[in-house]
Amino acid sequence: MTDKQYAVILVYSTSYALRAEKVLGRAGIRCKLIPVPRHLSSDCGVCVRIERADQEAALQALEAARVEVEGVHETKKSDMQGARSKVWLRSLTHGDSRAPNRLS
Amino acid sequence: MIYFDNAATSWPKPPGVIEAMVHFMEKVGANPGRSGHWLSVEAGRIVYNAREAVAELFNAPDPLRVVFGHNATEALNLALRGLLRPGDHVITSSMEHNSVMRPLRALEQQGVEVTVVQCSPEGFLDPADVEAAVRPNTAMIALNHASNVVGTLLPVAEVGRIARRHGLLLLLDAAQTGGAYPIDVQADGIDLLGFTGHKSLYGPMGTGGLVIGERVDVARMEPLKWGGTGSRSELEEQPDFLPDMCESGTSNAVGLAGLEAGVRWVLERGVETIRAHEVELAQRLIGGLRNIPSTGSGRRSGVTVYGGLDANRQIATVSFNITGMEPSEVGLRLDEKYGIMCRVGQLAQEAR
Repeated sequence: MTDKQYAVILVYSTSYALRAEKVLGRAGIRCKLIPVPRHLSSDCGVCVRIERADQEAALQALEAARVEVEGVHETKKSDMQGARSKVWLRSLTHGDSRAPNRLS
Repeated sequence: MIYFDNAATSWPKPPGVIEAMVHFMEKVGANPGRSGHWLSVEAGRIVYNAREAVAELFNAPDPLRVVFGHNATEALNLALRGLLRPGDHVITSSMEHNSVMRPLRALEQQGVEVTVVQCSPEGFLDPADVEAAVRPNTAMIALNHASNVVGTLLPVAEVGRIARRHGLLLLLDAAQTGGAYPIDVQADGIDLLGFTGHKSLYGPMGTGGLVIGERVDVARMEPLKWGGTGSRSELEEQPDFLPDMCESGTSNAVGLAGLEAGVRWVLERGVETIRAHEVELAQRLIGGLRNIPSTGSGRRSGVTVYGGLDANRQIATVSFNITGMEPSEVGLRLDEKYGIMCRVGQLAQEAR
């Protein structure tokens, strides 16, 4: 099975992610909101996952709609699975009292 | 029963508003924007959709510059207290509601200069008087779109042009007009639009917000409250971007679900259609009240209708007095004898 190639777009907050979802949907670009992978950012909340082939078109659509992007990371399906389990682990153990992903 | 108190809050609400709120409580219910799971994302999506609906209604270009709060009062406080600094001068009208006048009087104590431009006895504002009040340190014009007492519409587009010409911000209090009268923040030159959800947008109480235009320097803006936003949680400083910076604390997501449905209901009917219907009703009421003959007996000997008496120049709020009768007595008789519910006595806006 081939390892699916993704790009993950980090934005400033969930409101931006939801706006990005709408903008990309209108541009015909498939996307999914996922929890921010721990290895990409310590921020809580969600980010926008797209297929890597759509990266350029997606960034153009977001720029046209003036949705600020914090960063773009290329990743693979296998990375995402690892990242997902890390997020779960951190949110369950709560590390220290200033764990960045503490529930707010 | 005849409910005539829609200027205080609209009722009954469209069924879709109640359905959207029940859907949220039964099927969604999570905290919007706080977690990565799909229920939280879905709650966030509902709140975001409400931003889009409001932005569409007022022709605001960026839904993320629609900041939600509990009512128009909170929105107007955010605009005034968040942007005005000691030494700034602000121009307002004599037709303002207390939600503008009281924060301004409080700011005055802190060194903000306030000029109140007088309106005519019918409630009309001459834009030239506004322009004449501009000073070198004027930062903002704060204007009520329509009086909540006599319903008179104030000339927002003309004042918007004055604000642009002098590089001032225009804050519009649209509590009485949002959804009932066409508002285009771009065409009318409105930089800050305070709205409430529970009047002519047909949402529930506890919803409202501020539409923030591109000319407003967000870096200069101070929020009303600081706290959790679900974003940048690793930082102890408040986020510096909209809408998060001004929306600390869990939002009234169930209310905003209802607000979106209310705004969609307005958009489906069209503000122009709603406006035309209300003009017709208001003109009928004005005409009917003025045609009540004087009995000449000293008591109940005539009805005085206030304002411009032209429904095209006001919203569907009509004020009247019956000679020789206390307003409270009129209100009580209308309520008990005829089942007509209306507003009596001193309103939140003083006769300035």
